[in-house]
Amino acid sequence: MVTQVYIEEAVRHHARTAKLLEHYSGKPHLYLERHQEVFNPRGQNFRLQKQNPSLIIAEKHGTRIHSAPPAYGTGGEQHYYFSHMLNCVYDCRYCFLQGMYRSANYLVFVNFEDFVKDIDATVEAAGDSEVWFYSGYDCDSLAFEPITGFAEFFIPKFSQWPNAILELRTKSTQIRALLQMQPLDNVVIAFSLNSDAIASNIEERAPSIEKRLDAMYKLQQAGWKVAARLDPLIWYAEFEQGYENLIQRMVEQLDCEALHSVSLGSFRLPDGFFKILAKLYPGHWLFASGIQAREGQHGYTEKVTELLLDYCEEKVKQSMPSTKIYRHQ
Amino acid sequence: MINILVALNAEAKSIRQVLKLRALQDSAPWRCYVNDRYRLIVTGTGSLNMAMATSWLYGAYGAASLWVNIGSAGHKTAEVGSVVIANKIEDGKSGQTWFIPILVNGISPGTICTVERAEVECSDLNFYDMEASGFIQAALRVTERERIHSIKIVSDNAIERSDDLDELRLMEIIEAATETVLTRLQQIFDSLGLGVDKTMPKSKTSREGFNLGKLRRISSAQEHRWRELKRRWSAVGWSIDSLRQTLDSHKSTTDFLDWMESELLSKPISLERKP
Ligand code: SF4
Repeated sequence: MVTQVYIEEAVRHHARTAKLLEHYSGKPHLYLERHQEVFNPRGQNFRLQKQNPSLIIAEKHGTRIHSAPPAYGTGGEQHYYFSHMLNCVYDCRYCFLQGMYRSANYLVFVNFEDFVKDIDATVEAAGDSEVWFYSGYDCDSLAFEPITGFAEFFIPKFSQWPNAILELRTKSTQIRALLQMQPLDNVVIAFSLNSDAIASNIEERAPSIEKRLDAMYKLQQAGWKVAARLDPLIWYAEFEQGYENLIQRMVEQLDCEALHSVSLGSFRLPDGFFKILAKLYPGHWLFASGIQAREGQHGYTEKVTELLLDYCEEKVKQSMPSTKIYRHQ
Repeated sequence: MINILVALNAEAKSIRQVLKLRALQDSAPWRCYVNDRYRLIVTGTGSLNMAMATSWLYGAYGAASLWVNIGSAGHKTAEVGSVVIANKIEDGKSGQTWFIPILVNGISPGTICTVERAEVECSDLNFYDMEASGFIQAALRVTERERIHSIKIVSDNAIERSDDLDELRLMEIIEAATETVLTRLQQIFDSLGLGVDKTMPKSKTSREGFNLGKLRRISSAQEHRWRELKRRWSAVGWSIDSLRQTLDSHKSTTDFLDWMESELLSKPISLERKP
């Protein structure tokens, strides 16, 4: 899948680089000073790269812990995200990463220990307040797990910070490492779910909903806190049937009482990102149907947004207390 | 269209023959050969000639799906006749580098270092040529990185030295490697083809439609809005031609465009009957 590997000189001898290179031993290797030389230049075609991306192994400098966007919260006071990887192995048509980065190459930062130091400092500064850390903003948290060992490394660290909560957001079924670990009370594995029609139409390369539900079930059985993210809800003629069916299967296949939370959000993107995506896929219905610009974002009209959120909230409420349901506009 | 840029006639000859290209009459100052899929230009030696010819080609014919510099290169140890695709180009004089995304698996990429004259002190890490850096600099101004490639055939090494290379021997080497070069070229082209959007409206749909400006008075802002609404209309699978019948029932252009927008905002598409 990966066509070649770029390696920053600074991490040439890093143990995690060696592990990654072992995995991609047959691929051409190229050394560079800074990953920006490959990741940032103008004139790259995201769609073409996405078909056959390269891997870039680098060191993350500068800010490693960022304030999370408001739509990420499900409780707690302070919300941060961090990204050990930029870009994703899946190819969801609505993914804002397509609008955010010029390159579709997978950029993996191997200096995990520096992230841990920064998380530690953030937890320290928060005192007794509850502080949330999200992974899965710039990538899928688990999709690359067998190659990066991200969860295997970071999750155990959270046992030392009881007032910090880690949420891993994913569509992946790469849960083997988690099943081999002792579950932690302050770690939530949040799965993005959608109707079958949406998953098969616009969540290319991502595991089927059936497989995601199965992974969620296995994690619940193993004692992990699991959450569901019904986001982005997509408006299409059969949406009621599609989302009712999804929620029905969640009820049947999961222990809904034990779910940490369910959040709902409709499809929306900041104006700039939307324009880039519509340009990348001018013929895609997702960027044509029901979309309106409002308040710096492109998304569904207020009426459609309410329709989607109300419908799904109503259905979820039938099997879960409303205190566990979060609505994002 | 695939644009091929080659420095020397001796390097171009067998490619021209295999691709059955015919000479263009009005391509001075360059020699240009074409068929319905390829355009080949002989640029002359050196980075500057290559850069000028690349810019000229774009100026004369516009965009192409692929821009490929094919030519000979030296290497310390690589076998004469072997083929390399550049994944990095270095300008030997300025030290500037360019990384080229390779979207094809299983090929042998390498670094091409562009120098002003045939290199005597070869490093065994690089391939040496005299044009690639000029090519990439000019090509980057007119197209995307993924559409720019440099394919080199090793013409000399530490044993078969460049001083001993005459035109005849060069032609022989290029001729023997032409099939491999053209296979690589096709692989690169196919890898770009993978990016074709399966959801793009069919060409029939994109040719469909009518010129609103000919039927109605239309401002440039309305023209812009019409184009965007037309894109969305086709994307959801609705017929542009059928809009013409609706046009007469709307008093003004604004009314008509508002109506289109409200249709798009109020009627969801069916994924069971997806376009
Ligand atoms: S799984 Fe998430 S990060 Fe990956 S492509 Fe889909 S939306 Fe983007």
